[in-house]
Amino acid sequence: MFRNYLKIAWRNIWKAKQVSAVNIAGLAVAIAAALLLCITVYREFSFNDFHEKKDALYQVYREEFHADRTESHSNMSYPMGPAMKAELPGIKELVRLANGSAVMKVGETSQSIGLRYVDSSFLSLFTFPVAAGSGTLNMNTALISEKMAGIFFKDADPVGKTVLLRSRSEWKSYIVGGVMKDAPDNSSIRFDALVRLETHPGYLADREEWGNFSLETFVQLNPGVHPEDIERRGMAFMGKHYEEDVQRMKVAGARKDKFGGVLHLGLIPLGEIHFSQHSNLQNAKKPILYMLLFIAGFLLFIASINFLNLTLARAFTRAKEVGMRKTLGAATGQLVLQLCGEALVLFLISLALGLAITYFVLPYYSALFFSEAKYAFGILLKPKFLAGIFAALLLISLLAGGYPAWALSRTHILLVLKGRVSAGKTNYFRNSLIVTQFVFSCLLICGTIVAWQQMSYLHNRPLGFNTHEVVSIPVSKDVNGHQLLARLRTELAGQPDILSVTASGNNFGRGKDGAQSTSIINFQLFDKDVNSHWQSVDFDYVKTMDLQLVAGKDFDRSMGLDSLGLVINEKMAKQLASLGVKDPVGYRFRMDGEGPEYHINGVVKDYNFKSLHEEIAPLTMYLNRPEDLPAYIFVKTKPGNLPASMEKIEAAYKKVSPGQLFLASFVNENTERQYKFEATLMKIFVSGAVLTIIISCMGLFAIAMLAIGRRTKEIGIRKVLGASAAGIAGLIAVDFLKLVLIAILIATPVAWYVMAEWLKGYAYRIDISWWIFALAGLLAVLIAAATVSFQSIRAALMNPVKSLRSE
Amino acid sequence: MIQLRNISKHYPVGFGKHEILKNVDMVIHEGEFVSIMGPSGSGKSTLLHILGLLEEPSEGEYLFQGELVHKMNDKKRTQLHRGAIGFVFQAYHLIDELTVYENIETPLLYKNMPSSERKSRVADILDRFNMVAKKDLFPNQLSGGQQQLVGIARAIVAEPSVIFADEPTGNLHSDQAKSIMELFAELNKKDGITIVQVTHSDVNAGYGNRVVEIMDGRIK
Repeated sequence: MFRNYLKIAWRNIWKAKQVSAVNIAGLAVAIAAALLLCITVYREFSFNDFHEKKDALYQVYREEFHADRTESHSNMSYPMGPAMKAELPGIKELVRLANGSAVMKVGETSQSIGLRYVDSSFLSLFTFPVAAGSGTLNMNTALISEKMAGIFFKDADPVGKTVLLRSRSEWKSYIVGGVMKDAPDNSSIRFDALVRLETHPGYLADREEWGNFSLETFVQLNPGVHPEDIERRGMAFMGKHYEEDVQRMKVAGARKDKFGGVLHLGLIPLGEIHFSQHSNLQNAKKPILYMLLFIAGFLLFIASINFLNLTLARAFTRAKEVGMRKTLGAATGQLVLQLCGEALVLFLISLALGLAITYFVLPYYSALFFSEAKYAFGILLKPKFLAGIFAALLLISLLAGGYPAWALSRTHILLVLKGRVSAGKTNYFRNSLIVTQFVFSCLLICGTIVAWQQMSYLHNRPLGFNTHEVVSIPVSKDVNGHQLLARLRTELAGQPDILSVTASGNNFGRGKDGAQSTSIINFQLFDKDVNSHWQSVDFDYVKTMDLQLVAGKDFDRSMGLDSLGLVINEKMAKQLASLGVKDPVGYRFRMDGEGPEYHINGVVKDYNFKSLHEEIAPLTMYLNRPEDLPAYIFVKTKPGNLPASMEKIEAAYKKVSPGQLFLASFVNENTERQYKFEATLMKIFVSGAVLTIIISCMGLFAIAMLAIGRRTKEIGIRKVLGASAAGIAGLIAVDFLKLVLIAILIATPVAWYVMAEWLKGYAYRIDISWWIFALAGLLAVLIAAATVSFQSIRAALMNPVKSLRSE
Repeated sequence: MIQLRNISKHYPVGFGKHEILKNVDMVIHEGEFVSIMGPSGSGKSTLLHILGLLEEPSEGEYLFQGELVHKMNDKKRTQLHRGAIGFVFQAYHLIDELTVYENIETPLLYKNMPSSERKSRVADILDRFNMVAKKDLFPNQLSGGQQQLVGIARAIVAEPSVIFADEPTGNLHSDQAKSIMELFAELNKKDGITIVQVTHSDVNAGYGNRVVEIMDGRIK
């Protein structure tokens, strides 16, 4: 019986080659896309899951609850680790990690490698297997990865050999104690070589230094200990060891965390560090991953609609067989089983094809969307993933194959045998499915157009300051920014390409250091609240950033260290004006009526110092005081040869600050980096739209073909009666274009609403204009018309005699 | 074997109803060869469909092998279609995707017959109908007469007690019709299968042993 079913399934697929091809191709493409997305999501969610003790392991982070902001950091100081283990009961084991890049040398081979300085407990906490030698770390041993062993020792056995490592300036020799298996691709912690933390060049200096935060710290909790227990005890711990900070923060009006402390010691489960914004090791965002999953499901849905539609359309021809089988004694269940089986056969072929597509497309896919990740096709072969695929497939087969099967087997035998299948009802159903597909297509086209417009609007909107010719250089925390600024000024003074140099406590957008900060002050003036962004700047800030003074003047060197002078923006001036300060320039005031008396030097035109998600807010700039270390240095260059200027700045920076990383970037790169999320979203949008349209059109193509096949006789008769080819082509095309028009009507308000909501996230946004929908509609109609026209023209050019004879 | 009591069939048309069969009483005994005759639209096909359990009468009682049909559930009817009833249609209604052999085998599959028995049964039938050479052909590779032969072979392979034939020779020319009718007569006499056929042709009706004439939904 089963063989019989398979045979029929195969013959049916073969008989309707074109329809089957469309079905299989559409599904295969959808499956491939869904698999690619699932691989991405699976990989991200599988991060760090290979550690045997993962359920007991946590990364430690600290959170500072300032009055106006919350800062979290996952870097810890040297003494914190041992102190935590000693003072916080519940911690079984603890490991500290320091990152370092180093040069490794063996004989003639030398290469820079990723070096990790770790406590000896590293390998007992984390599951990184040893391939050869021993996994114990002594003071003079190093463990190297298999990859490194291959590079430096070729086929020789590295265990017991000597390697030289240089991390700052001096070479140090280690004996290779063992070779580690390379860390899996889904590990947040990666290394080429491991040595003891005690050999870190900064170890002696920092060993007892509580204020230098540079280590990642992981803890293993005792069984039964809840991370919250540690966090609660952590409050007292932080209060004890950082008493001064806590006092200072409290004076400044710090808020309290849920345990009542202003410094919070938190634990991130190992499985979460890949997503947690508290961790330095964060590298993925969950909402995007969920969105990818949604798109995967959505594409499968669209392709399943095709399948459903084509099966229903073919029901007309299959009906006779089904009716006959019923008179021969087939039970409804058997028929449903048979038809579902056919669906399953089709799906299996599509799956095989989809897997093949995935295999070949994978490298291009990761390059296009997720350049940093390496995807292995092997992920698909994991039992969990395989089970998922087959479960999904079975479900789709049941739904997409089951409905037509059920509808067919339910039809009355008599109608079938008389050649009258109830076409009316299934047509409604079929048409509504086509409409659904095109609703989604239209939605995605509209979304793409609106998103694209908004992105280019953001891209091109003048921000009110110079973005293209100004270089922003993050200043490392362990360097005195004032000195660096002064040295850099002298170094760059004579250069004709350099127009001015300044500094500030805040960056524009997001620089290569990845940091963003905001500080807001709030004080009372005339018993009213005044709010303003509060930013430290250096001389020449207005000039360097090309801000426009509308009144007064910038800070002036001739005035000396004008530490109480302020430069405000128009929004701030407006705020003051509402309090009765008509002419802000020269205005003197004390915040809350006490403290030093500030005076306003000048007012600059409003500019977007934050991202375009936010409206311009009041801003007050004050001159860098000795205790306000500049965090960013800005250098304005002459337009014309920007890369050359960049090189000059780098050379000067390297000279005045040897050994420091040069993370400079042009300000426009930084401002665009703020929209990286949108850019990724945009790519996903476009790809989703294109795939949806392609799959929908494949379905439409096949449906048109079947519908025309069914109307062969009608077309023949019309032709005999004198209808023109164009008239017949039109007759058929109109049937389908009607559906697309309905889809546009449904999609337009939905798209308008959804996109309007999305745009609300931007303070500066485009207006959605009617032509977007007209364009999207026109596109959908054109694509659908092109799809159908091929079939309808073929039908119109058929020889009527032939079509009539066949009936 | 078959007993119709006061059978009526009507369809709703607008606010009224269209009567197709009116108060039909009929008895068909085992081993009979009955021909139902009448002009187009007289209700003879509907009567055959009711007899074959493909359609339900609006009123009246139908006893098939002594059992009330309208009290049977779907499962029971399917059982009857599998074993007791065979159909032959004017348009043959073979399954296009299956070969001659497979078409004949299908009813046995639904009867869950073991493979070896199925093979010997189909082989017997092919042999008897002289179609062994054609067993691997598809229906569209056969002539109308041959297709109908397959249709009959398929109808009798499950050894039904009754065959309902709806104008079995309607699409065939007279030579073919003659051999098909002779086959029916033979099945009736040799195998003792009860046969009920609908026909327009007096010649075909002559092969049977009783003619039921129907006119405007009533038996004359």
